[in-house]
Amino acid sequence: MTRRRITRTQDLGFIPDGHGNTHDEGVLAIRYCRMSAEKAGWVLAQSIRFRRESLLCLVLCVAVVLGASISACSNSKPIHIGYLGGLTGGAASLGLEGREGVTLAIDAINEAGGIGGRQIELIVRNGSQDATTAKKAVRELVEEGCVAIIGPMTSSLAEPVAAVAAEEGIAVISPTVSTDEMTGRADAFFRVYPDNSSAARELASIVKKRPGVTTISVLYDTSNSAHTVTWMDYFSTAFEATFPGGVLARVPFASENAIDFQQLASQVALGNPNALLILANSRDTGLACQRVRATGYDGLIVTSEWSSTEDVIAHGGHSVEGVLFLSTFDRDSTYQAYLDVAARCESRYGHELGFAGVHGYECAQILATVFETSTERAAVLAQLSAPATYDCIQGSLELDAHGDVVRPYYLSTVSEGKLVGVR
Amino acid sequence: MVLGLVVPVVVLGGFAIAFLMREQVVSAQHENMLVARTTRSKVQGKMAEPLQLAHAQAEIMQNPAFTTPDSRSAALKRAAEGSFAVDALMLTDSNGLVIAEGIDPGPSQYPGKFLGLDSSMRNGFAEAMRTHVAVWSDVFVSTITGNRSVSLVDPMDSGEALIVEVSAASFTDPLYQLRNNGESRVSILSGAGVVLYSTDQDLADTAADLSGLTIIRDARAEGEATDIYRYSGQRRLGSAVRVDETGWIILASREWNGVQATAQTLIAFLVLAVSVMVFGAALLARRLARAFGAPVEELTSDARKLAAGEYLKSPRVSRYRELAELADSMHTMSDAVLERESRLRASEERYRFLVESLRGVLWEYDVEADRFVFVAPQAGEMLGYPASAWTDLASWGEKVLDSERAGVLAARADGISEGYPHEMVYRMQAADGDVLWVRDVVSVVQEEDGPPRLIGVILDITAERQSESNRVAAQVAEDASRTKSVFLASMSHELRTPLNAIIGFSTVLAKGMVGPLSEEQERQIQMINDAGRHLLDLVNEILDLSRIEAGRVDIVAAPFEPSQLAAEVAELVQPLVRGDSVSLSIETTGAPESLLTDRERLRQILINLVNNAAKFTEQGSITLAVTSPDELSVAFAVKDTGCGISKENLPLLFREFGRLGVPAVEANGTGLGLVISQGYAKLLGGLITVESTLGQGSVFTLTLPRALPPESGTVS
Repeated sequence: MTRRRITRTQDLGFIPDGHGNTHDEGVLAIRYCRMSAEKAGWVLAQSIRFRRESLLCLVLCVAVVLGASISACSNSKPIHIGYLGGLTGGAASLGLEGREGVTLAIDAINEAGGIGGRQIELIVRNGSQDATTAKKAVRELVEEGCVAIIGPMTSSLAEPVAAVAAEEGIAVISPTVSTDEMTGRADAFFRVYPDNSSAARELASIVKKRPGVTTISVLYDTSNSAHTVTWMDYFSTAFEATFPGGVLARVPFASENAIDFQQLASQVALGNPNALLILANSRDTGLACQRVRATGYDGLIVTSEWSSTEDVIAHGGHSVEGVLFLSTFDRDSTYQAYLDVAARCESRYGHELGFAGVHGYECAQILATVFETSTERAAVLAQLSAPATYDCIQGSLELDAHGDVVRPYYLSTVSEGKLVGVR
Repeated sequence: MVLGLVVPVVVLGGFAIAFLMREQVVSAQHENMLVARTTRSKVQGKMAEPLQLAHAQAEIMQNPAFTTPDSRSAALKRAAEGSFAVDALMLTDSNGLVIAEGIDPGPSQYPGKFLGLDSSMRNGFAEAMRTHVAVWSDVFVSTITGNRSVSLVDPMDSGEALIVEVSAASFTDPLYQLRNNGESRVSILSGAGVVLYSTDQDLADTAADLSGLTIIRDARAEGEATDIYRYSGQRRLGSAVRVDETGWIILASREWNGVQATAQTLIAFLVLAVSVMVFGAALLARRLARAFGAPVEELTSDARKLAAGEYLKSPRVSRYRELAELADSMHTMSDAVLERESRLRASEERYRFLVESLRGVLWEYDVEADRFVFVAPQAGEMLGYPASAWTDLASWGEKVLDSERAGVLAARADGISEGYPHEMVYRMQAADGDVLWVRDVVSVVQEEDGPPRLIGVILDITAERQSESNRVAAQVAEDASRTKSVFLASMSHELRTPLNAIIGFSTVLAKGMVGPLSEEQERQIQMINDAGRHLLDLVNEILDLSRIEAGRVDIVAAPFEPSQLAAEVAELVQPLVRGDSVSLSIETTGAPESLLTDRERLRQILINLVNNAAKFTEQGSITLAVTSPDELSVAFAVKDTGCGISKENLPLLFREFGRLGVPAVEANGTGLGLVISQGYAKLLGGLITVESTLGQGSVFTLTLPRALPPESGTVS
């Protein structure tokens, strides 16, 4: 706003310039007054408006504070798989190692994003060796929402578990059950392990082919007779089909704490058989081998897979060198997947991924494949009941309509204190 | 206001809550870690015993007293029996073959169980022999007890080794102690992270595999770790420590939600308290705001009104002194503003009125900007150009007449450069083409801090210039008239003398005073006499008139009765009136009693008026009415029902030498009668006015003051 200083017309309080402008201090003052009043009015109006805004602010703050103490729920529901195995007691190693395999598999699947964005959760129950406990465990697992169960690990629990599974309509897939009683049954029971008869026959045929082996004695643990006796019978039948009467002695023992292996050793070495079949857990096998060798026996010693864990070396020392163990997996496998998992097992658990671990892994892999289609319990059961081939850690596995498997056999041995494969 | 209260409270509340939560967590973490470490210490304490035993036995074995296997075995057996934790002691040779054994009597009573066994592949043996340090093995299932056990391989200087088998359960006593203690759950895990023992039954039953938890991996790698982890759908706060001897992990954990629950209770309480406080504050603030708000809003709207130009009428009343004062101040301001504005407006109006009333075009010109800052609206009337046509000097120059433009512009430039006020007279061309003479009166204004400005007025002098010649002519005519009067006045004597002779001698002759006359002679002499008298009358009238014009008439004022005068006049004129058809009457009811003025002159006027009435009235009446229109005047009205005078002729009545052409009447008057009457009337301080309707009659009214003012004429 221009302000003119008038020199000659000082008394004029007002000068129109014909364009409507006024140049006067009084008018300026009025204008400033008006501006100030407007500003003051604005500020006042703002502060009054804050009253309403403050309530909103308040509500928001309280909401935030309250909300902070409310934790967010997880969005995606996990898929539950049950695991049933003996985790405590003498036979715990099987259950523990099987679980290790399953855990490694599940962790790998979850890391890769799970099934359809859902994570797999393992719910573990201790099956011990007690049928009642095992049956109860199955029901508990069903109640927990499991859509399938991996287990049991021992044949003695297979029947009761299968029965409950059929009732509950839940699929049970076992890594290591070998009883023939489960063979050819269209039920809720599936397994990736060959039955005893076929395994026994396999080993028999291998042993028969060994040069110079025409006689054999058997040392077997009666506390696991479902496995050992069946094995022994089928083996004997197969062996004696070629070498009649070739089975010289059948020496039973009951695995417990005070086994006189020296006595057993001398018993089984009687008649100096060409070979010795030991059907016992790895610990007992190791000790037995020590005592057998201590007798001077130097014939072939063969065992079922049951013996083939690292414990056999710890307890057997040098005496287990060269013992042949029938295996259902290839210790010399070059499958990268297998090698990765084996390495991971070694670093995480501190020991080799034995057969229990491998088969546990396989069961988890099979279930994961089935889950791709559906995670409903009934659908899973139905899908497993159909014959199918599955991609697993050491190649493809074929399950038939009865849930049984036909798979290749391998041989393992101990060489320089380590379990290795045999070509 | 509320925001100012709420925000700090909420922020403080938030900080307090966060701080408390952290404190809770930290204290829980400390507690947890304490439990883990304490348990570890206890476990390690338990491990010390077998180690001490091994060392002791190792020494014993080297004692020459114990050289036979039997004695050694016996010694070992004694040691095993003597120790609660130790289940078996074995002495191996450097290859790992057991050469002596001592088994704690228990379920196995079988002697010689281990003798001769190859223990070289036992877990930890190779490492112990290699490092010459006692090494604890992994957990394994004992073939002696069937329990989970660990063995300690203690290498001896002799190359032999002592193996101590200990039941793992012996290390779990601390756990049993903890079972009923507080919130922490304590577990002993194998080096891999699988639960060996736990205060939690489920964990123990399922030998839970915790190897996947980050906290376990961290503890394995770094020896200690704290983390919040999720297990079995539950969040837990865990502290894990590594038992270096065996690689075991001791995990102490507690429900995270439990930790949080405490914090949450606090938070809930705090939130409640904060909310209450905040709501209380908000309520209070609202109250305050309302108490302030309403009057403040009123004041706000007042301020707005003021800004918009509305003035405040009644002052606002408020409970609060400050607001009341504010309101008062605003009103004072409003009044002051109102007064100023009205003064300014009045001033503006005054000056606008002045400017626009000027019969000239006011203008202002900025020399530096070459711009007409102001041109009065009269420019449109005077010159026909709108205000927008006046922009720069050239725009003014265009309106100057072409022939004069160059000179005028030069003159203006001179005026500007000299800086003195100046006047210019020139011709302008109006928008419609008319040419106007204008006088431009200019003053130069120089501001202190501004450019020079010209302020001027353009006056239209066209009429002035045109009437100049008229005026001169009129002046000449007037002068001529005056000269004439003087001439006549001086000629009066010259004219009268022969006339008197004519009249005189003709009267003597007519009277027969010189001899007898024949009839014809008498008649002719009478005609000479009449003519002479008539001429004398005329000369007298002319002389009267010239005397009046020359201003040489004597007025003699004397008191007399006007009604008497009226009667006298009527009598005198009576003979001239057509007696049968016209009546002459006088009215003196309203007449004043006396007048103080020149009777003779008045008589002359009245006679003239009544005479005129008589001349021009064929029939009807002639009335001479004397009235008093007011206290100081008298009016003589001569009303006739004569032929009247038309509107066009009315103005000619009082003019010299102008006689009304009324065909039928042969007027004797010289025509100077009314002019002389008006002249006398004016000398008497009065005036003759006439109203007339053609064909109906006229009223001649002489109005004059009753008493002559002393200045006019002479009062006798």
